Amino acid sequence: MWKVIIRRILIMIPQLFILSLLVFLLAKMMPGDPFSGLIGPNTDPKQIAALREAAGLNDPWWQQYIHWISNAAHGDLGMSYTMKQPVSTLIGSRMVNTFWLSLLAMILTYALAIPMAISAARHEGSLWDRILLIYNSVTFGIPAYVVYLLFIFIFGFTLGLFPTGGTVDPNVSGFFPTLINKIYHMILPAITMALLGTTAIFTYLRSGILDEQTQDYVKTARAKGVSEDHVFTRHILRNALLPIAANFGFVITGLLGGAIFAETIFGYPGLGKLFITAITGRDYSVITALILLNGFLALLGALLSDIIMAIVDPRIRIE
Amino acid sequence: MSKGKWIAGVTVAAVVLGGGGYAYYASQHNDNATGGKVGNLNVEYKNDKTIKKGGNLNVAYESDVPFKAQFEAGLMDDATMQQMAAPATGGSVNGGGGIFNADNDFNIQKGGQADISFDKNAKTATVTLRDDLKWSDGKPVTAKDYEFAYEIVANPAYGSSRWTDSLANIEGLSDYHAGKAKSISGITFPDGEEGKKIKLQFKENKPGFKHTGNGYFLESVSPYHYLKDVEPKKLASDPKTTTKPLVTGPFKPEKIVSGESIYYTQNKYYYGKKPNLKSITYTTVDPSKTVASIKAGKYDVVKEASPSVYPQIKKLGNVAVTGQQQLYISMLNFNLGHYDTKTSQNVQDRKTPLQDKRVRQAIGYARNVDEVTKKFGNGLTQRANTLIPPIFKDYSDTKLKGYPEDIKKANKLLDEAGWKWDKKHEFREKDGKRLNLTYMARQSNGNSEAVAKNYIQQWKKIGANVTLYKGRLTDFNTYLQITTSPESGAWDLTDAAWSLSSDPSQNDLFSKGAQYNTGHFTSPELTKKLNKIDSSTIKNDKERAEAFKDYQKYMNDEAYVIPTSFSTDYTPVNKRVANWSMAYGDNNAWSDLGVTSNTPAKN
Repeated sequence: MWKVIIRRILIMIPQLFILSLLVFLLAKMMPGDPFSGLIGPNTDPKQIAALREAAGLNDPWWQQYIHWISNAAHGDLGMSYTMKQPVSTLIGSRMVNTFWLSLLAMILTYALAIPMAISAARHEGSLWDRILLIYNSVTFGIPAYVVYLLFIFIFGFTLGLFPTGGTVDPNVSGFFPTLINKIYHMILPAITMALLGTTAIFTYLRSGILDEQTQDYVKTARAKGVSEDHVFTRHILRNALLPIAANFGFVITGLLGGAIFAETIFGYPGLGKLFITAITGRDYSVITALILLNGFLALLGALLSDIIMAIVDPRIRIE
Repeated sequence: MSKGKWIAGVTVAAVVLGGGGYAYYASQHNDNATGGKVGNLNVEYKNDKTIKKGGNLNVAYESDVPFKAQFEAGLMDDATMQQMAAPATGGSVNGGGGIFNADNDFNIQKGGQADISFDKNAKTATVTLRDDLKWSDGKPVTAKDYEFAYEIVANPAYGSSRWTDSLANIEGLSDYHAGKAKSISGITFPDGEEGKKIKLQFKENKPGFKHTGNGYFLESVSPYHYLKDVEPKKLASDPKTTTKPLVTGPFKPEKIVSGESIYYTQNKYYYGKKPNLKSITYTTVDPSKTVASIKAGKYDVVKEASPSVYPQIKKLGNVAVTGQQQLYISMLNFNLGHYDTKTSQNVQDRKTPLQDKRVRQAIGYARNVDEVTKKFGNGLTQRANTLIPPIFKDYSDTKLKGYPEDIKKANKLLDEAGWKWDKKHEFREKDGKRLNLTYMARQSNGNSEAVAKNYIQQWKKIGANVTLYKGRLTDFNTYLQITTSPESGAWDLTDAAWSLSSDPSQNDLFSKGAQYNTGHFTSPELTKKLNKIDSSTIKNDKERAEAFKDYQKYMNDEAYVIPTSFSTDYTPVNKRVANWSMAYGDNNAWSDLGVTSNTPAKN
């Protein structure tokens, strides 16, 4: 298996290289550049031109790319043109926010979806099952941003139960008060994301359980007099969870991807919001770094999923 | 010639349409330090209730992007931060406060963190820092700190975007900027670097010296003792300028959450009046949340709230809405030439019917700006009658009428210019060519398309066949790329808008060498009139005011650009706030602010 993992990692290098080239070219094709926004009678156009020249933006695109990729290979992702910070520092600070928000949302999503799927499957065809099916159809179909806006309006502004932006109040000091305040800021976006994110897990798990229930080995177990709870937890659920496990690699890497809509609407400065800001500000170095990061995470997610599957399902082996 | 005479936060924005129209706007008085009105909005909200001792004020700046914390003036290049840093710099609530006090007409006044005096014969200025002026670490502000501000702006290693040709009027500064000198010969310290006096040697006197924000000298200090060891190229990202800065104003940043908020507490080393407030929390609020936030009392003050939500905000019972004239002008630009990069000059050489001023005037008279501002301006904009906004009451020519809608006059002008109606009386033609024009209208808000199509219809009334650039509205970045390109683009008309400096000279915008002269028009007469405004031969204010009026009349007649609108800034203030003032000349605004209760008023 190790050979396969190493081979997969090595294949990532040309894949990421091609991705970076494409992203770099596409970013350069956008009108304007990071210094366009500086225009104004407070700044001399000559000074803007000088800054543009100093940043190498007047060089041919391939020279800019080689310069950028060689620095990136050494771990230097460059400076953000608009935020005036090293890209790695900027992404690092936002990644922390995104990671904790996504982690909380993920935990809540699983905590909601798995019991929902189990109870729906065990009472297939009942009113409860139908309610859960309808709930998941609705949450899948409704545009997420509509719900985000509705929740922030009701729970943030009208009832005033949760903050309506940011990751922490600036006047809070001390480790534990800051930690609690940060969690407080995450609760509303995380719950909202979780409430809307159950569909995939619910559907896979519910149909998995229903499928497994009719399998011969289940009938055999029951015929042998194994208790119903034992049959369900040890046989049905375990096998029904396999599709969920298969997706888990993507879920883990997705924690760092950033939720563009949620972060933007909840005013939560994570990677998703950074991505939008970077695009509008033509912050090339940040745009390319973020897309590259997402590309890397997608490839890593696929690999992790395969590894997880190999571990949890003895029938599958990576060769 | 005099680059950089404009306040920060400048954006070339599409015309902010709207209007409600204050027909009397241009003639209103400007004595707003002790009250006054702008349109029907009060400049101040005093509050009769007793101010509580202490308290926290929640201020928000409307923005859909996280702010970049930067307290070093030479490295600060966005409007959001300029506003958000205001409690730490002092001065008025409008941001951009410096070491000199100013009155409502932007004249430098005595009594600030520093005073300045000029010796016209010697062409020098002496800046004297207050004896009790200290940094927020308790160290005194020295002459070197003032000089260090120039080093940051002029030394390319710091990567400042604030260098302008205006600063080259200080002896030796351009040599230092170009790396030809290791120190700035025109800046000296009569009492030594640790003293309080700085002498500036100018190449020539400028009438704009008297105004704050003139760009000929800096109005900030930089803590040399604190920053001297930071590598220049890392200064912009160093915590010493971003999250742990030293400041001289009434409040100091206690905690900064990157991109989100700044928590200010009283600066105990501040020389001036002790603030009423114990703390200020300054944050950004997304435009989509502004109204709900104000209604819920989440913020006491919201700066730069969008004009589009003004109708909703003014109906809220928990806030008082205050207003101030904006240092702003929007206009219609004509594309008349190109910028020659070899000679660094504009050349008016484009083959276009717009070279005939009668055609430009006709285009101006055909627009129904009054109607548009009334329909879309929410009462915050009015048609501009001239290029100098009325906030500059001594310089703005209130007698000029500008270009109100007058289709008859527009048709007459085109007739005179030889543009005849075609057989169907649909469009005008001359020498077998139809009057075809391309309008690069910017996508700036939900009304942009309606307004652009309205003007196209208006122009059709006078026989001009105007079409949108590439058949659609143009996004901001594309617009900038095209208008700032030296080449003459494939457009004929476009909208432009500028925030203005507190010195009203428009040399930077319209001179022969100005790169911001995106219409590339020029004439010896215009050069003469612009130069006169900034000439060292100007003896007094009256003479300068005459020069401004002469320039405005010329620009009105020539119609190189057609002024579109002036704007009013409005700020909703929660009714628990006391002593809020948007007066430009309120130099103690942050110290005077207070709250009258612990909790904000809710709607």
